[in-house]
Amino acid sequence: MKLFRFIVSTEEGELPVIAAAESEEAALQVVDQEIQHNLLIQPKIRDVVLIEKKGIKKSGAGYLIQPRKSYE
Amino acid sequence: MSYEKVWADNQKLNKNEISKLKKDGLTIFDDIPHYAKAGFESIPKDQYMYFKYAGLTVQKPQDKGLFMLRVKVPTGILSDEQAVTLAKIGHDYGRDVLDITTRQSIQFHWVPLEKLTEIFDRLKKVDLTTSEAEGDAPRNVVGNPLAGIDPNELFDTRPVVEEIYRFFQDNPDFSNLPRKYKISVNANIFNAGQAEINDLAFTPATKVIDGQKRLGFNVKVGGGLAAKPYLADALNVFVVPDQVIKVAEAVTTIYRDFGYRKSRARARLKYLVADWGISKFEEKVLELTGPLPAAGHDEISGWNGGFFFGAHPQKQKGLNYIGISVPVGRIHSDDFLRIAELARTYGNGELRTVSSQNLIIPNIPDQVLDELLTDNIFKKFPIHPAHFTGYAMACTGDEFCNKALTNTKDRMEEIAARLDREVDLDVPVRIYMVGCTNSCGQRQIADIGIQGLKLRAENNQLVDAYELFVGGTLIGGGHFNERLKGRIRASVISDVLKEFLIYFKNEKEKGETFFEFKNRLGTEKLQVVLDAILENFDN
Repeated sequence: MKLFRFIVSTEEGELPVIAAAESEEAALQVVDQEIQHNLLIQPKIRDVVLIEKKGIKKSGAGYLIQPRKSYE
Repeated sequence: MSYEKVWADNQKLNKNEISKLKKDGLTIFDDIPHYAKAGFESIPKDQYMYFKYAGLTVQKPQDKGLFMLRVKVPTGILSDEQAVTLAKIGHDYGRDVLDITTRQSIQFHWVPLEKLTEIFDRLKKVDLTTSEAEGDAPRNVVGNPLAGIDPNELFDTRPVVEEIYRFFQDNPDFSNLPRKYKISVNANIFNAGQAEINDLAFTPATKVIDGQKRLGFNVKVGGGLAAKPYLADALNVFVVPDQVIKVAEAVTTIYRDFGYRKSRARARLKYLVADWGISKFEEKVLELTGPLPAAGHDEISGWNGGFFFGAHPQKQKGLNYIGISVPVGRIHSDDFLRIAELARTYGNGELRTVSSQNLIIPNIPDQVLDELLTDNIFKKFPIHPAHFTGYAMACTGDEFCNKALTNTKDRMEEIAARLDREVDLDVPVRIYMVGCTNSCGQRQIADIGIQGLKLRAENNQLVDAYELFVGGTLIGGGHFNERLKGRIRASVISDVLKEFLIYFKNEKEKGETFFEFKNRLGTEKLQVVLDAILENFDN
């Protein structure tokens, strides 16, 4: 199992989405599910990008969600 | 071991730290022969971390029993027999491929577990090692690849590098650091040691002491790239060469004893320096070293990006060095061997690796220089490379790396080759490509950084794509490049870059570098330019 960090770009701005899944493809489906489930009005999505992935160890894994700095 | 692990009882430790307390990383060399006999499946996964101390990473895919193996090359200097040994290891065990890294090391891929002890033996015979090339220990000491022969060096740093290397190498007092630890020693005035991106850096400086001008170093600490890059801060100290080891030991001791071991994500020296502030850090250093003079005159006068192409006179009259382009640092073992043979025939056998992933043959007498340059190898590895291929770098990429999202080396080579054919510039442009948010390809200090990601395509599949970053440098203490908005599919990245660089060509002033151009126009303007380019492509 891996942890995937996505950025969903919409007309209103960027949404960070984190997905735990076995593969990139499965993670992408998780992203869609989370967007559909969590937003009453579906945003107009410009693009969805995977920018980082890491293994989930027994001690866990995570990402800090914050606006990306210009050099990141 | 002659120190107390002061962190053992007084802070929460991460899992690796608990393991390291029970078993030192260097003991992996005792285990490897047993694992080699019993097979890859016999290695418990919790032992993988120890392989790092032997310069080994379990290669992707992780169930094949193959390793990436990294060999240290302090300040990039290889003797004839060392260079030949590396070429033969590449041939015999690494599917004929050698990679020159951005820390002047040599990496091999596809190395089978059962061959590791043979390789260690071969390396030991020529005084090379993989030990601590990875792991939470002092990594390869980088520095001036022209040390001792450089007309632009304040003095010869080879003795200092040797002293530091021998002091720390396999030293059990420093084999358990909180995280990787990178040292740079350089007296080249064009910052060949890339001081600002190292944990501890010695940079060329002068100071008048007791009426005498002394040559030595200023010191910087706490630099590093990675996903959270940080440029090193200067300590207000001046160090003469024979005091370097005292300062290096002090800084490393502070890092060992006070560096953070609770979270590996916060374990690099930069976090301690940031928390303490440079003044407190300096006080601690001086507590260990005793008084040191205040920083001397900084003799750095620019940054050459680590590029030394062409044939140039050495400081020794009648001798020359040639800087050779190795595109993205990847070279076939036969070609490496051929270059080593040329170094022996025409020079003194030495070969030098460069942080820009290239090679140098030193000590070529004037009278044979022209003859050497007629060799066919220089058609493949030119000394005057084209402006893009010669100045491109790339990390390992998804071919071997478990973190990378995209291919890098092959794609960077393709892009650079096309740009060389189709964009004629009067200055080189340093383009560095990475496959993830980390920094193995030093993306953050490139003129143009390219970072890989995956973009969702119309068919709901994830496809390779890239983001661009502009204006990185280590000039003037350094500046990280800045991201431009817009994700660019792999299918059009070379088209987009071509158009972007044609804009640069058309709008630049004569001799203006990309960094100067970006500063003149501003990032916002370059964003407008990229937006307009992307509108013309099916991206």
